Amino acid sequence: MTDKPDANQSCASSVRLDASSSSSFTDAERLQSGYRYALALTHQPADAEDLVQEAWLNLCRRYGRVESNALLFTAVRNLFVDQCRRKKIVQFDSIDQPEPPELPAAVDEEPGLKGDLEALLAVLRPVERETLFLHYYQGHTAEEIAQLTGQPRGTVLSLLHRAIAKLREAAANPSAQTRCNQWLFSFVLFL
Amino acid sequence: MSDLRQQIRDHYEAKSLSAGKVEAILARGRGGEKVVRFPVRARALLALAATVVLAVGLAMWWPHGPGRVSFAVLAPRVVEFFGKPPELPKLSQNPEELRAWLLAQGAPADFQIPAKLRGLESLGCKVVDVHGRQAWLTCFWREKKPDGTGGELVHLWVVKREDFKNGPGTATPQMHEESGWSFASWSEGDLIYTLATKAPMEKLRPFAAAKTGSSSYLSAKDFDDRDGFFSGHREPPVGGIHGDRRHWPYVVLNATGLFSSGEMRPPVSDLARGDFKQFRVVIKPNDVFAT
Repeated sequence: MTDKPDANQSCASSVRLDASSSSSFTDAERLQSGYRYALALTHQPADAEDLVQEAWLNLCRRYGRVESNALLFTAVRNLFVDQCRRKKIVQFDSIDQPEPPELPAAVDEEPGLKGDLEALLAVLRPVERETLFLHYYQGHTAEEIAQLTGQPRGTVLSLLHRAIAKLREAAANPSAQTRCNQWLFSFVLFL
Repeated sequence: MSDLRQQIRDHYEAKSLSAGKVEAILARGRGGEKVVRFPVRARALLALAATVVLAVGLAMWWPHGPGRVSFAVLAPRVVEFFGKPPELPKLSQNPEELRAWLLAQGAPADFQIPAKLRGLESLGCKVVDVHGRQAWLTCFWREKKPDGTGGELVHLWVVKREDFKNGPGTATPQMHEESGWSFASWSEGDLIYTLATKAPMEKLRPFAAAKTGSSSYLSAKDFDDRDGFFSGHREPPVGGIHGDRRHWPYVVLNATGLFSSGEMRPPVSDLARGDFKQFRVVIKPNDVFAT
């Protein structure tokens, strides 16, 4: 199953969601916020920097200024989706991870993770990191994220649970990924 | 607040663009020119206009391109057309009336009936399809039976030059025979004129030589060869033969230009008969005689 971010996201709904807070941001704060969102998508600082810069300049060329965080987030997201399409990045869900039969309404009360969060986030897919970012960092509810990203609310909750489960699994077994990578590296060298 | 939330907040709070990078992006954003875009409707209209212009351009170019019909198809079409007695929608003994009718049917305004044919009695006319192109046909009585029940016809076909390729490029008639028919074709302006008759070439030559009567030049091949001389029929120039001046000024041109000039004295016998149109002059084949 492909799981690229959906480009058909409603910009209008995004603006509506974030309109109350947009006026209090300075341009610098807005740019930093957009950069963090880009980082959540790409997980690569250099890519995130390029992404937010291009989105910011596009908006400036088009509207003269960037009027809201939601507009910037939308531009960043659309640009990221375009890049994924150009690079033909297709990601697959594991069939070993069935949908949770019943999802709790909220996932606010979660204990912390052990280990380097930077490395743990790397095991997530962009859409999972994005959902985590919007929920835990931006403080959006699942309903708001669903509107923002154009996905069903159930999918958003599912993404949240999967992301957290992946993080916990990676935190509990930190050497598994490393061992796998070492084995692959040795195999490539052998070839 | 959960530990995970705090962890993630702390993680992303620690990530930020450098102050220099922020300032650089903001500066570029402020300096960037706003792109003025046409409204969607204006863009659609613009695209539509561009499409129309393109279509018109193609339509104007197309008839000049490979879509033109070879002029060689005209003669077989004439033979085929008269294979069975044609129905002429317009019948008249007056050539000018036929011309007016053809003009009303879309014939080009510069379409003229050759002067030599104007003296003939006309039969009728029709717009004929020649491989998808229009041809304007006018039929004349070349020789009519004394009892008026019929006779021999000569047909004038007029087509547009832009509709045909490889047609005659000059006003000098190109003559050929095909399937028992004789054809003489020449071009004038944007039109190609073709005379056709179901008879040997000598029956057609007098009409083709005169053409539209607007040119004072005659080709040597328009004349009958007789005893090393060429003789022909030609309207005398105004004042050239009347009164005491019983001779015509003339020039003979060949391919390189002026060949000879002088005054031509018609034979005395002709003068005695009063047939001032008869003359004899020494010119060579491919020379052009002008009065």
